[in-house]
Amino acid sequence: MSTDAATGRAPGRTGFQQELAAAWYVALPSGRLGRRPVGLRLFDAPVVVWRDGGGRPVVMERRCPHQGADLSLGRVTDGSLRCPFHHWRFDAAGACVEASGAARIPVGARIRSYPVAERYGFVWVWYGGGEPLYEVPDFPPLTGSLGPVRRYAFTYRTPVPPRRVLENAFDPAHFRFVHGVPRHTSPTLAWLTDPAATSVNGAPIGGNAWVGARLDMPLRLPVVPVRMSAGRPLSLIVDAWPGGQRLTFQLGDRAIAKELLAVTPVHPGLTIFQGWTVMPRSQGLLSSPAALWAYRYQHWRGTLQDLKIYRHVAPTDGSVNEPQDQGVLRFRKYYEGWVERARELEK
Amino acid sequence: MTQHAESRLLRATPTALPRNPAGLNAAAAWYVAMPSSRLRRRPQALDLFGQPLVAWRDGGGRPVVMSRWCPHQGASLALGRVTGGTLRGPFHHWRFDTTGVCVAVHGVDRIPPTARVRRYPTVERYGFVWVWYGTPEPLYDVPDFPPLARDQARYVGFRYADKTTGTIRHLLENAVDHYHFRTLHGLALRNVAFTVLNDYDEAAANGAPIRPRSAWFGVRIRGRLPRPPVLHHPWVWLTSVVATFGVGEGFDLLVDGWPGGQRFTFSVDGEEIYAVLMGVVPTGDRDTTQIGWAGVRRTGRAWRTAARLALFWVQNRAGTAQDVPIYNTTVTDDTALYVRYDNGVVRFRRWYQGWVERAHETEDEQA
Repeated sequence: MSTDAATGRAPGRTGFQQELAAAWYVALPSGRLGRRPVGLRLFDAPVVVWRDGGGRPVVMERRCPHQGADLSLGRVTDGSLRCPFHHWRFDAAGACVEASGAARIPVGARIRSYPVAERYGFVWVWYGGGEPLYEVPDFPPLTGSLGPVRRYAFTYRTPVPPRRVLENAFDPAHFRFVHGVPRHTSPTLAWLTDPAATSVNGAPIGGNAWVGARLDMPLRLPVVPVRMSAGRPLSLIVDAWPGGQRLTFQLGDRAIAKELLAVTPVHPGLTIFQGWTVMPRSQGLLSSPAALWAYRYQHWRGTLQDLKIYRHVAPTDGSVNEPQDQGVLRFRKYYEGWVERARELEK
Repeated sequence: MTQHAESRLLRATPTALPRNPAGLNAAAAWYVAMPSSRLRRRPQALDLFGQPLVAWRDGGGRPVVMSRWCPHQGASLALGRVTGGTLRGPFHHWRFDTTGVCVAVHGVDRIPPTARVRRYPTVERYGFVWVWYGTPEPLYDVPDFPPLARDQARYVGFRYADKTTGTIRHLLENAVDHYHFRTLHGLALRNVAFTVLNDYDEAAANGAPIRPRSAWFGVRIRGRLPRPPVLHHPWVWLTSVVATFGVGEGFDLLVDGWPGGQRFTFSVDGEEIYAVLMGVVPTGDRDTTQIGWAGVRRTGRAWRTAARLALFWVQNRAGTAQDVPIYNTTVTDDTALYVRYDNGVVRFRRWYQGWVERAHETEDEQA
């Protein structure tokens, strides 16, 4: 906290929180949240996640305002979370609804409750003020609107802050050097200005939070017979909100796979990123179980290559760059705008 | 909800209320260093107050607790040996007496005047090695506890030690926080009367008064644990019977202590059931052990005494299993909200922080 004075930051916010964008983040997979409250660290703060009477998830501060007990040791009774120590109870909005044994509920007996949504098998939490500025983005492959699918979930942990994970898709050059895309090819990135250009990823991301790009990789898939892929370049359509992104891998116009990627900012040394990869369940080799496993393998290998870079990376200000870095620099600018908004809204 | 007749509404501004600051927040007090049985002929390394220390027994068998590093080359004196009533360093055989002063430097005639280590006043009593923290010399004695002294024959008990990541103050204020007996421990208390004691006489059952008056804090919690019809409320019935040892419904818990520990006497319908001596091993910041002795008063019938002892052990262990997770996780570096029933806790915290201040004054000078 002493650094706050040095940097002139708002008191009570850690440096880590000062660098977070206003966004929807994943708190935890829905399956991990049953009847009992779960204690987590999110945004470098201790939080408790629990389900209210209607089964809706709640994410709120973990410290009871009475004597500082840990609410994740408590129980859910009558749709409210009861502190283990003196049985004060808090509703989903974080307001104390019963201060057991006290004549009346003391002023100030409330704790911060974050906006929450549950979708795609995750509990999502909004950071950046008390009201979300946009919805949790649409991801059609998991809402059934694309028909039958094959899918797998993934989770990785890394010490870098969320931005580093999110800007990676906007960095065309690294595909050659990190992921071994042949060097004679050169992936190119086109910055998109019209949300309609990424409609393949789902309904537009609201609140002016959308940013999108198209990556073209002039190469052939190694396992796909030449006649299937001939003349059809591989491309990646990515669009993002400041806490995650949607991706579609295309061969020509055909979507081979779609991905939903979201981050969990835990503390300065830990970001979790997780999501879904989905393939349409249709005819042909490209949507067979074998293709899913081949995709999963390259996804895993590619992620390990990225994680190795992340483990040994130092922050830079972006002043040393080359033309291929345009995507990353534009993304950073966009991201910094949402960090600014979060700082404003968290004041 | 029952209101508590003798607790008064707190009228203080929030900023005047005592915080539980991060850091050691240790009061000037007697603490437990270790059980006596752990300290034999060989020096023992131990950590207290966040400091690396060594404990050893001098020629008369009296325990000594002092800084662990030899001022010569920094070797651990815990690897040394006791010879001629002094502790001899393992490296160059410098020897230190019970006051921490170097009395012999091997191969040298003149002992360097700075060859001394900090020692802490130490006393052995009730089967524990007690160590004083906060001022160079103790400001009061280790308090009297008759069940382990002159009344030893009247009690039978057991020792306990529970490691926690709570603060020293968490462990000590717990008994003053009478409301948590209902909530955390689930006891169906009725007609509760809670008093912060003013008179030594009121705590006479715990032993001789803790002097000076300013080093003493006591509370008394009286009330009833009624037994509802067993078939309607089996769990409430069971907890009430267990908590009162099946003796009756009216309970009386007397707690008094010094800024580093407490004495307890528990009676039901006027009959004394058990006594407890609780000390704290302050290993470091958020690294503590509650340690002590708990025993029942003999009843005159062996089977009844044995049954009470067994019941008490279960009660004591079950209660600790509920308290320790709270100690371990409670946040300390923030302000609290106080309601009417926290009156005792607030007064305890004020008193306790006063003794922390006294320790700070001296510890700052020594640093």
